[in-house]
Amino acid sequence: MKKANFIVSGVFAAFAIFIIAISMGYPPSNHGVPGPGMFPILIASLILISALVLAIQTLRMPKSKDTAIDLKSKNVLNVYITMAGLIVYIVLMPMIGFIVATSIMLVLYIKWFSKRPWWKCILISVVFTIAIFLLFGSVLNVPMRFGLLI
Amino acid sequence: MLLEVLNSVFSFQILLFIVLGVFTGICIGALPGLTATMGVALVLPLTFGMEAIPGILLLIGVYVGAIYGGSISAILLRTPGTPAAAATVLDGFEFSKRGESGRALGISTVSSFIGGVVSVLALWLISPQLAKLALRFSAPEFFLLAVFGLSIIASISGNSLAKGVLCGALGITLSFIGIDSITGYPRFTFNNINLLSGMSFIPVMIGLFAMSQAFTTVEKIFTPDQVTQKISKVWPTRSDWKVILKHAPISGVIGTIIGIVPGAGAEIGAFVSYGQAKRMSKHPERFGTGIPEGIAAPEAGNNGVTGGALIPMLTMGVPGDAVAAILIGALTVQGLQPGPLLFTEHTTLVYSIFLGMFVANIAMLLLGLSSLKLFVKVLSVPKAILTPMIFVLCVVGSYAINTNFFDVGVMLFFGILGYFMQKADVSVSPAVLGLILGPMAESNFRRALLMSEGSYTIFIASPIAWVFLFLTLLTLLGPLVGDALKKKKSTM
Amino acid sequence: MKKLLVLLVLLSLVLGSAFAQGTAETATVSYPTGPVSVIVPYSAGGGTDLVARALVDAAKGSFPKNISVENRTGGGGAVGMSYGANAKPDGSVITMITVELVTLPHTGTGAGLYYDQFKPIMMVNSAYSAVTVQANSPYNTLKEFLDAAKTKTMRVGNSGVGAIWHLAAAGLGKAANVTFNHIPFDGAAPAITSLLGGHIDAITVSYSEVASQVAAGNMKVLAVLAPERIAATPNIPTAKELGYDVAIGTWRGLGVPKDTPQPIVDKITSIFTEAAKAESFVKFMNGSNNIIDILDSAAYGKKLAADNELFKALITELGLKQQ
Repeated sequence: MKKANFIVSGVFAAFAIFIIAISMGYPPSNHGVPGPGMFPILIASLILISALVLAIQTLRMPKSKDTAIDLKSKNVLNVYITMAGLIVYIVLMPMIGFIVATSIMLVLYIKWFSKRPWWKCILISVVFTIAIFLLFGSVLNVPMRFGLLI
Repeated sequence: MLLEVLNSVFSFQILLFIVLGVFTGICIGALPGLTATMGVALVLPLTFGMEAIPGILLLIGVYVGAIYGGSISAILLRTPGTPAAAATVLDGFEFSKRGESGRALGISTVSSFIGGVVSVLALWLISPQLAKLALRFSAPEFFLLAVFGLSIIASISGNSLAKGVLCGALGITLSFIGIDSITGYPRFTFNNINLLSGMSFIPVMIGLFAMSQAFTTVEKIFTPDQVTQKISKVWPTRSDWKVILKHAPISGVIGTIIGIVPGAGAEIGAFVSYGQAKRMSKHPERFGTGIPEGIAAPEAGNNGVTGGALIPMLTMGVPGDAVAAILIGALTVQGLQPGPLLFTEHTTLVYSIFLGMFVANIAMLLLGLSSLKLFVKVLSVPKAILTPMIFVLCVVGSYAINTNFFDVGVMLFFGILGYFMQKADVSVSPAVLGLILGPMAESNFRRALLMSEGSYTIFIASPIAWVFLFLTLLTLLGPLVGDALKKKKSTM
Repeated sequence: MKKLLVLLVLLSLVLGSAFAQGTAETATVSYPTGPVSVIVPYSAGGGTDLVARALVDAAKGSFPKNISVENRTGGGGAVGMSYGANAKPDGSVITMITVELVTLPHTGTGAGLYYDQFKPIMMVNSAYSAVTVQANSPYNTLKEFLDAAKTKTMRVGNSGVGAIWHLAAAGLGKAANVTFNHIPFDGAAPAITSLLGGHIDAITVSYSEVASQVAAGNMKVLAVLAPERIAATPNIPTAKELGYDVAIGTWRGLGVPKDTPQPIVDKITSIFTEAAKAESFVKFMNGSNNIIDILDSAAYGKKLAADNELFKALITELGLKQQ
């Protein structure tokens, strides 16, 4: 937990400095009316202060409260693989088309997660995909036709 | 007059339209990415060919249903179906984790009904008086209302206030992206056309809440489901009723007032009600762990907005929120001008709307209670199959809002970010609140100074401003004063 | 597994209705050969969206393979119009183009959009700015208002910075040689509400947006910034007759990508010219206070070029250009 808190506080502080650096270049206030940069600088300063407070609180945190955070176990690796797979899915979907890309994505994940026989995975995936396609595309008029295939 | 109104509402055709509208609304609301505003806009063209009363009541049915429907997916899947249900996630999903989703949905349904009825009564009995309130709001009052709303971050931060403020400020910072509404200057857009109109709120919300939760589920995807959902009773128990009756009417009133204020919608009503319930509570520390107050307050609050939003619309032709703006369009298409003349020239129509909205709330209660068991069935789908389906819903939901693939990327980015924030014990709700209220606070602060030509006294010039200043100070300093008093007592 | 099947069956039942919509008619003309989409660069339920939907509804008989409205929002209209301008030039994507097409490029937020990327089909409707004050305001004519503005800073509300009603107020100020304190709101409705509450002095949004408040006796219109008096309101003078040479308004029309072949352009033009005369469309437009103002392709093209110059000069002069 301690390590995580320091990372959170460090990342946010860096983010705040980045925001302030950009906002400094924005047009200045005009006749007492704050310009576009004022609020970003104000809020980023608030982030800096909170990050500092968090860091100090963490330093003074008793060891007993320090719980470990799991970032490397096999279970968490599965999450990383899932994230990577979804990134590939949303990059390819606009090119391939909704029904094909989504069915394939679903089949692979359901097979991996549930270990059911292939035919069941394929059936569930295709039926669900088509249902979503029709619900959003036809009933709710969201344009769902794109990509090379369907 | 009375007979005419009764006749016009209690005909088979009108009742059917109301029920159909509510049903459609619940479905649209429950689907992530489809908001109440979109639902009403989608149904709007159907009303062009209808008479005025059935047409407008169909739309109101959709509105009422959608604001309620959002809570169903919020409770079951941690996916707020509409932004209005973002506050319901906090406690609602904890019930589902314990296998009590039926109980949670029951509380939500009954509370939504009470909130809705309170607002209809306000609309019916005192709308002309309340309407004047809406006109008293100008930029300084909007700014102070937003600041008051932001002070709720203190109560939804979880274990660490510092982390809550960090996260809330992150949300506000996200709202800076896009064209500045006061000077037209593009901020943090990095020359990307997709960022010009700003970060879309819905994809961020779906990512932070639903997608991050789906990732967390993946961690334990190979261990069998342990929680079985108790669906036998959806009707609240005696002790739940006590809580509901204590909080829902107050939240309904809060929601109605928020609804009257132009530009503040159901999502703000829900959060303000949640914060209020927490302040009133004897055990504020238990909020967020899945207690009935945590559902009753925001659900009554957001449905309270429905009636409130119609008050300035019907009395002055001024929309109380985005849905009311569409309803104004629907009335004008029928050749009716919302405004003061509507009350005198189309009395039957106005009172039919009141009665019809009451009927819509009853329809929502009945449809909700009778179909809850069906909704809970969603959770009996094994998580190994449900989780990938949630992936698809998150993707389609964030695409549907603007039909833009960029938003899907935004959703996934915030899903991954939200997952790591959960790991670091950072509550994500303050970010959502900051994203909702940040723009309201900033633009109105600067607009107020533009109006006053730089003079800060405009922020303390009206009684409403004083009220919000007082409430904000009370929220922020109240706990400190309370602690000090306790200490004093214990030393004495 | 059984429960899963129940869920799937339920889903299919809900969706069953979707199949019922399909119609099978045979196409007899070379255009349209497939489904056509009309891009609306603003959100569903807004003013532009409603006009587009009503027009498409009136024209749908000519599109046997289906015609649908798609809302592609973002960038104050730039996202949708850019999408439409860069679509396949075969008539399968028609775009609802609005006055922002000739204002966004000059404020620097058009993301490469320029009016010559479109071949104009026709202008459908127009709305001019109406200088509106509260009914109990001491100013009864435009001249009284503008003369007062010389000594007192008037707070004039608009629908957004750089938006058309901001430009209208600025154009009026320029013609009368006064400076207003421009207060931008997020859309016309909050500006109207603010005037109603007496928090600002005037607004310059379109007449149709304030018509209901004028009818209710809450507001009065001092003048319209139109080239001629508006047919629906013959008693309201134009700024031009009062000696202030300014006419600024918004318009909506249809456009296709510039490389679209002429025969297809002609076909689309004839379809929508008919549709704009349809009883349902006319009734909708009158009911919703929208003024039908048809310009053919050539005249519309000229207007685009003229407005482009007008706003380019105005925006540069106002210093509204960003970056």
